[in-house]
Amino acid sequence: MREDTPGLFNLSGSKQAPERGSGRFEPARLTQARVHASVSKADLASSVGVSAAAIGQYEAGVNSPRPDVLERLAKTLEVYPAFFGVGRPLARIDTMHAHFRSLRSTRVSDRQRALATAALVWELTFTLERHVKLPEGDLPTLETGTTPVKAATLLRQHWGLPDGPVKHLIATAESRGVVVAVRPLGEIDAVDAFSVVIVDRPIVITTPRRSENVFRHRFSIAHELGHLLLHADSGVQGVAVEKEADEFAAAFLTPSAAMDAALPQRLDLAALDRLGRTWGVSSASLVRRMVERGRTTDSSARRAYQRLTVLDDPAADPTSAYRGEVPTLLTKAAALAAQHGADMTVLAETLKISPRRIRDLLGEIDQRPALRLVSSE
Amino acid sequence: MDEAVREVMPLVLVMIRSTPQQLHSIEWAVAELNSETGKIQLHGKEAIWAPEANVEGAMTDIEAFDTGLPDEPTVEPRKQDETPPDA
Repeated sequence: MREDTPGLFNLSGSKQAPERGSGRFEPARLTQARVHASVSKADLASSVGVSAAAIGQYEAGVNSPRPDVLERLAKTLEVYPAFFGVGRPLARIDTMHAHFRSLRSTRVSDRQRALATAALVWELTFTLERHVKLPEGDLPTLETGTTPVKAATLLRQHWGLPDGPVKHLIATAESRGVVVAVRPLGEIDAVDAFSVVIVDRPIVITTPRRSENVFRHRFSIAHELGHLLLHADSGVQGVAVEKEADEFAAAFLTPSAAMDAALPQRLDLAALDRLGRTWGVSSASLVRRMVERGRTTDSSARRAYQRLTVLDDPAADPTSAYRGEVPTLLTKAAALAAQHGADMTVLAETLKISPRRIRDLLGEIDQRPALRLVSSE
Repeated sequence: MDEAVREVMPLVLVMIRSTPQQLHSIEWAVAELNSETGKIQLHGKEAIWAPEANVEGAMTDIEAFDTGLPDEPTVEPRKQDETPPDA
């Protein structure tokens, strides 16, 4: 091994730009930062005063940017210049398998931006693991061809969950090493929720649109667990795959045997509301379950959905009111790391992004007053 | 007038529990404010309406998804001589 080969984590020269012409500029980092900032090559080129073709060449590794261009790239994309250097673990977004809902309405650029977010969440997780031990990802390996219903049963067994409602789903998943992050609308708005496995770490990313209501949130997370178990190694996308993840979520949260005993004999929305509040699922998902279990017809179900839409109160049952449904793993890890010498500044130095971005990734609201330079006149 | 205010004035309190979808229960009780502690004491609390048992029969022994304390993830500091995951 060459002596100047950078280690997996090179902590030195943290804010300095990578050397030009020495092979230390990492093209994939520019793509990651640009895609995450949702900036086109043309707009970035315009901001930093180079041609769009030059940005393409930087990202393809054909050329490296001059130090002054690198500084402007860093400023525009809100990272430290050293962010573009080699020597840190990099989750390449072009190698990830993720499953996005509403594929037809999801643009490639939106998917790439979502993956860039997932990459940053993983890099933060990986950095925290330098200082604290997190639960290892603990998902069972399934044989090819396992059905969603069987997968749901196997996950309950693997995690040692008793019969009955899955209590505190997010805390349960996090304690088995699944990282859950809720990103703000606008950042991954177009894709709603998705999951990836990066270097054995299962990650679920969701948005407030899926996560504001606790019942939708739980179903959405269970849906993503289904993808992680059934489709993590597969690049296959589409309606059939999404349907399988829905089947998994329904079977995991509301197993058939329990539902056969608990579902009312006729479509009674008040009864379904009570049942849903016990099992932690929406009335709509129980109406679907009644159709699946032969307790009601499709036409009755359609009328029930219409009635539920009228009754729906988006502000009711907020996830924030349920302690076990709010992600805590990364914030707990960051707090412990800070107690042992790796505070926000150290994490920022390692990841080459600002402490504000780290807080943002952790889901912390920056409550410090915004300071601005004012004219001395 | 001032003395009348200081006298104990029992109040019938009706407690309604509901969600946007349905009524869960109605209870009532005589409420009395303890002026020294500032706490309200309830006397003779009774249920005056409860949903009929249908699905509840099958659910009585089942603990809801939000009962009990969450099994939160455990994080521990890494010891000096411990190998981080990338090594």
